[in-house]
Amino acid sequence: MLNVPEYLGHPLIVNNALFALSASDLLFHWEPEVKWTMTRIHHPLPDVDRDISPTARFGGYPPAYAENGLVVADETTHRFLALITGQTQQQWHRDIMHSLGVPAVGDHFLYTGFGGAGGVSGIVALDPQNGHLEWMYAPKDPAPDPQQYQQILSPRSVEVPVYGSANRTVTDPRNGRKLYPVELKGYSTAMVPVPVLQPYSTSPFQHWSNSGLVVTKENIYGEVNHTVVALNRIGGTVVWKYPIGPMDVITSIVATPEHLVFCISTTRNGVREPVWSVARTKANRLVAVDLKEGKEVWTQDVPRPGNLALSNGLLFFTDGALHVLGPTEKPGDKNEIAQAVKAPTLGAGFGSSGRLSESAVLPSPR
Amino acid sequence: MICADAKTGVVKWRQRLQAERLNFTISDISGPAVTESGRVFVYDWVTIKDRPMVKALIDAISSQSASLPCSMAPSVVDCFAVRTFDAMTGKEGSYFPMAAMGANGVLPRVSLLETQAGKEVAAVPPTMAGCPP
Repeated sequence: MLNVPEYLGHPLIVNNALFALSASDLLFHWEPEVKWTMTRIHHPLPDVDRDISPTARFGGYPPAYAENGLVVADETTHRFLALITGQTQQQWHRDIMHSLGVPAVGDHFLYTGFGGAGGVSGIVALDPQNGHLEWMYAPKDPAPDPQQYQQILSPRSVEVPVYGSANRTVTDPRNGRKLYPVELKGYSTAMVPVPVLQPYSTSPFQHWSNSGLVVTKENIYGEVNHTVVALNRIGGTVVWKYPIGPMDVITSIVATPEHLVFCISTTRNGVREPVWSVARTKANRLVAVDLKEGKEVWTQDVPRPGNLALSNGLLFFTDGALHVLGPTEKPGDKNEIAQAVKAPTLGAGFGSSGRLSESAVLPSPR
Repeated sequence: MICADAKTGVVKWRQRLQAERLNFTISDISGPAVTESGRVFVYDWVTIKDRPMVKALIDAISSQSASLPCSMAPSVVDCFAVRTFDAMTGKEGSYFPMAAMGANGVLPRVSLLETQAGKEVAAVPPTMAGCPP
């Protein structure tokens, strides 16, 4: 039975095709009924035989689609960020020294958070054509994220001699018996596990606890160093900052045309965890600020951290259940923000009937 | 998996997934993803016992790689899979069983230190270290 698992991470949809990186070193592409490809991506260590140099570990890194290829990264082993332009082609790759957050691409820029727990020590903008740095925002210059070496078994192909009966006989001179000698018939290839040292981040896969970035025409928004920041998209200058507490982390962030909405979780010990494995938090709340100035528009306590998504003027919040927040006023109503400030109530999740019983006040996207 | 009306929450269709939980958490929490043309992709686990189907899956590997994966004489394929559904009706479409299609076999490799655009390097055997912790 074939049952060796190869799991995939966050799917990226490009037209009718799905792209995903696996837990290990696999890049998967599938357009049903049209084409599929699977490619292993290797970033060999410089001082190790390339045949046995440890393979990449994507940990399901969420790929991003640039104009000419796919942005992929391994932020845990022999770390790199790369643009893959074909099944076995790269346009560029950069060796990196830091953890990474979830990448975003917009108008000829590739953005990613980087450094430290959750990859939230800073944000960089790169040119997706060549990987060159366009700008970097990092209030405290982050030190490289530490790694240690672990021993793994790497497959090596070795030639194994193959022996077989010779097509002749010989006579034993001592007793005259006929003997059937064995001779070398050739060589076959076998895979042998070889121990090899692999660098491995002491805190692997920090994109798991990164909330991602929001890119608009003018700005980029994300979590950096206990703030939510708005940075100018072209130059990286600070437009505004929204401070969060020392134990607070952002678990999800989205934007309507006028508002930035994020989920803040106050941890008990300051340790960042992926949103799905958060055991206990002190408090969790949704916050909406206006995109231009970062002024708080409303907040709403929620029982658990979760993920936000937007569609058709509705805000979806999944925290184990699915909650939907929606506008109660018509788009363009001047009172809608004022009403939202009056503490919106969280929409109920799916009941047994599968119907939503209520929704909340939320500024309408326009 | 369910599809519900975004505004009313009324469930339009539901489909049973085989895996209650996938061992790699990212696979468990990722997606589903939907194309603009209305195809839903979702991660799941499949067990394929139909012999012609198993044989067809294994034969398909030859279109991907000249070398067959390491253990290619199974009667049952049991593996992680990408399944598809029609977004409007919930009707199941084609699915992609990862192991059967060669994810555990010899695959092309892009080596970041050796590969230039348009230039290929040798295929590589499956990774042996399994999934990360």
